Amino acid sequence: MTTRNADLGEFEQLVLLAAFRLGEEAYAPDIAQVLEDRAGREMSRGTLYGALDRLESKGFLEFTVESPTPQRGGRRRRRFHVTSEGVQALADVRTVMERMWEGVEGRLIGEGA
Amino acid sequence: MKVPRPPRLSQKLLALVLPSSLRGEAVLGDMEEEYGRLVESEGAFRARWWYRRQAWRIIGVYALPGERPADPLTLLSPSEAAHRSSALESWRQDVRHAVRILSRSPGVSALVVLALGLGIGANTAIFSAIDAVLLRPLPFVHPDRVVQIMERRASLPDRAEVQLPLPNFADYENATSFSHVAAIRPDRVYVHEGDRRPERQIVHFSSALLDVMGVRPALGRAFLPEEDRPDPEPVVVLSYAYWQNEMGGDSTVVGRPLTITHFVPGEGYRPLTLEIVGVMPEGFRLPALEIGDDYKVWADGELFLPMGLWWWGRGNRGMYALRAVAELAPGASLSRAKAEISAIARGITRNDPDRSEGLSARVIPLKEIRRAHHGTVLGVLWAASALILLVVCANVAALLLGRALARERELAVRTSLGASRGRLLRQLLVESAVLGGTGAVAGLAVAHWGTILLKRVTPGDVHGLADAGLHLEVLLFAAGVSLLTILLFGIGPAVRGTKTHRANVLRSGGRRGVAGGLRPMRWLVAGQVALSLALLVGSGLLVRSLAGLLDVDPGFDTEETIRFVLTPPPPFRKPMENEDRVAFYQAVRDRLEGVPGVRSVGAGRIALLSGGMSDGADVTPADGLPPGRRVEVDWIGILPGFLDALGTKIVRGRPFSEADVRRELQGNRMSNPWEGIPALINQSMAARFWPDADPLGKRFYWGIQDPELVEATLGSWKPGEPYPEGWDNRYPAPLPLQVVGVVRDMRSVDLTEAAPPTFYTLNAFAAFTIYVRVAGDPFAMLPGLRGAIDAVDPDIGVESAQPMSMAVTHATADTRFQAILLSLFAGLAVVMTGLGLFGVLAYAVNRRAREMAVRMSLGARRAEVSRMVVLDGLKLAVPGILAGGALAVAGLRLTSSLLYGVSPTDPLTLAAASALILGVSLGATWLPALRALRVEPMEILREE
Repeated sequence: MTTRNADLGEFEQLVLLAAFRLGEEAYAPDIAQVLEDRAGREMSRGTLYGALDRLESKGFLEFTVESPTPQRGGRRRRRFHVTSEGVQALADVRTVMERMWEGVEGRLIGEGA
Repeated sequence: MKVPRPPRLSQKLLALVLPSSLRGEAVLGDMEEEYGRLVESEGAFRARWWYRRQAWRIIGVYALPGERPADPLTLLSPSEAAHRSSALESWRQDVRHAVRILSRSPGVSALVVLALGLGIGANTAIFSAIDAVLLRPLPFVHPDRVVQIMERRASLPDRAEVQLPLPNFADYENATSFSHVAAIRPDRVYVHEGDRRPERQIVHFSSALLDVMGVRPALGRAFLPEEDRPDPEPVVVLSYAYWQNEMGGDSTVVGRPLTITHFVPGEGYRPLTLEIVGVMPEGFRLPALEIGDDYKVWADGELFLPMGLWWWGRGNRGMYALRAVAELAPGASLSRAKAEISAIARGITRNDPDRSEGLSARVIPLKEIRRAHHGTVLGVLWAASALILLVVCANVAALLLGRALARERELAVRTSLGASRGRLLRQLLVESAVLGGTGAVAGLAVAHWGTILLKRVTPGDVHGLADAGLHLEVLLFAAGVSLLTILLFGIGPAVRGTKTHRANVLRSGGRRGVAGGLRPMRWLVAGQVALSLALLVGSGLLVRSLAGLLDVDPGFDTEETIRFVLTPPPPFRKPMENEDRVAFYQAVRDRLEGVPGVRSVGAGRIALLSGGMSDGADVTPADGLPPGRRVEVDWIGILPGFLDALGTKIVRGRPFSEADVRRELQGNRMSNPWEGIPALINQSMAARFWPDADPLGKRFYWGIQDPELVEATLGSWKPGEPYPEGWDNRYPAPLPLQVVGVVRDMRSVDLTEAAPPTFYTLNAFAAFTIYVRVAGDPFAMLPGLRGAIDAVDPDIGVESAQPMSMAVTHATADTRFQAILLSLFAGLAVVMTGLGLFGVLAYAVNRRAREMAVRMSLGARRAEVSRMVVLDGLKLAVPGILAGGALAVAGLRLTSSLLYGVSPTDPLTLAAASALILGVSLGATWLPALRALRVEPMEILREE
């Protein structure tokens, strides 16, 4: 199944990638943590949950429900999984990006210095 | 270990906005978990800060509409499936549900919205007037510290307030309790504008006035303190309107000359060239003050002149001419200012007992004056509109209660299906809010038009009313009133409706005990009866006052008399001597008497019933009573024909004759001083001066010279000669008058005031106020009469022409306005009450149909059953009437100042209003009783 790049916004890409990286431990706070560690700034939880909802609507993410804990005020928790469509979308984006970068990496380094 | 709790408010808001599904639950859980971690790593303070910020960001995302993925149904519990929509969506759902329910009975809903709209609208409209007239800050730097200084004289019992003589003002100016004291004095002058010399309104005021008001001129400067003192360099400040209209808004006017012609005492009309030194800002108005019986701006000046250019009354403590405002000095209390001004007034009386007898001075904050003049009327109207709103609330609550009872079964089913009481309460309150919100919108429309209407029909110039409108304060008020209304009519029925014991209801097939569920409705209806009665009594009292006023015999004919006010030509342009004025009057009279339908023509220097004050005069009785102190009475200058034209009568003696006029014109009034000038007096003056004697031939002095000195020296003095020793050169020579006739009392100024002691003399200036009595419709004759006057002298114009019936209308306008408005309110309340009573009884009959059927089948006659219904209605109405009567007696005492000729506890009005309410109540029971008569026992019992 092919995915159009337009279906995956830039921030969504990052969220999806973070969930992919976390594998079996993809809880929303941990996704935020990964993004914060790598982006170096505080992540808006509004943007995060919005992106999670959208990724779910698009079928790139799904979740299972886990039982409540006292730390969560007795509330249940969602564990996210990247679906096979999600993995495919990430791969597609990466392919496009790699093609775009071909032969220009050197220039970027030169000009950035 | 204690689990740290996130900030409660943010969490609540977050929970409200998030979908009430697993999704929302998970987000809330994530947030709390992260919060807990942050508390450990960063401390509670930073964690809370973080939570609040993030919560708001999530709210920002979820409060916006947008596609959200649905929770997979398999993951949801059944109750979650019921609440799957977000909290906001569930509110929206409640609203939709409410609209659906309400549109199921469009008639009742429309009635409720209409009632609420009228109630909220009436309140808001009245409040907009109160806001504009009473609540706005006065236009001063320190609005609460500005006072008006007024004088009162014991000899003038009927006049609330008298203007200040200039020397008295100068004394008050020195008071240390004030930081500023300013005088105001309007006048009229002729302004040289090219070839024209139009008459313009000017106002003299002290330099301190603008300091009190915090106003700066738009151009140039205002007056300097030295220009308050006599004879400064002549300067003028233009009003913005005069500058724009007559000077084209030219910014170089400052420094230019402006010439006026004005009257200089002792010299006559003289031109005076002023230097324009400034222009007032746009919208500048002099402050409103207590002016006679009014609170208003004394005069709208087109030009402003300094106080120092006002010649009249310099050094004359007998000339009441100025009004004064003052600002309390920092730290000075009102009581200190009052004490100081009183002490100064006592000093004035001590030094000049003759002219300042009985003088007392008053200091009253302008805020109090404003409240005193408008507070009662507006307060009564507001109370009335609040009563209306209460009646509306009670009515709507009763309606909704009835509906809630009718929905018992629906609510019981929903309860048994697991809906919590809170949920149902919310649904019912949302229904009320939808009704109330729609009612509030209708109310705003009513208020908008109501305010416009109020401004148009309010008689006279109520200062500030023109600014009334739906301003922010008014809208806030409307919102508050609407909210209160929703709570008042919504909570009761909602609480009541959800208190259902569902098992009982389901078991009894949706019927409850016969009377139990109706008790709150009965209370509400009885309350409506009480409030309506109070309103009805109030409007009844005003209607009776109006009838009383219209019934007053003013002492002259108001139906067929027309008054013409003429404008004499400018005196410097066309000088008129007394002969000319009298000749003009004779010509007008001859011509008017030639018009078919004219019965008589007269002239008198008074605008009867125009609300203005009449001319006062100091007189001293010379005969019959020991020569004593002066008394101030009214004086009216007339020309022959006046009494006939007004249809009033000479009670004793004779009217003025043409011979009197000729003799007056020859100016030989002093040739035989002891004969005196012929004067007519009214019955009231006769009773005051000569209660036990025949007034004919009696004499009195007019003037403020010492009567005893005059008595002793008058015989040897001729006009034109220097005054005898002892006379005061500043005042005119005293005139001896002799009574030739006694005239019926006329209520010349105000219909509610008994005629003051008044005397009449011949006066050539009366020629410009013509009274014509006609046979037939005065309005139809106006054009013809006007033309006849116009034809006499092209230089003399007709300023106004008014049938006296219109003057009566004008004089009764306040009472008429209040009576109409309150009657409107009362009518509305009575209709509402009737409907409410009808609704409850009809509902009761429906519910009791079974009981009635049983009774009838057990042998009760139909008449007994319908009597039962009527008695039921009376059981509601009679306690309401008793309570309303008590309410009216207690509350209406406040209205006594608005009433005329009727006591606030007038038993007849109370009885009539009670009877009306009782009648309406019986009317409201009639249909339900008929319905009860038609109950077919067998049909109903079969249904069971």
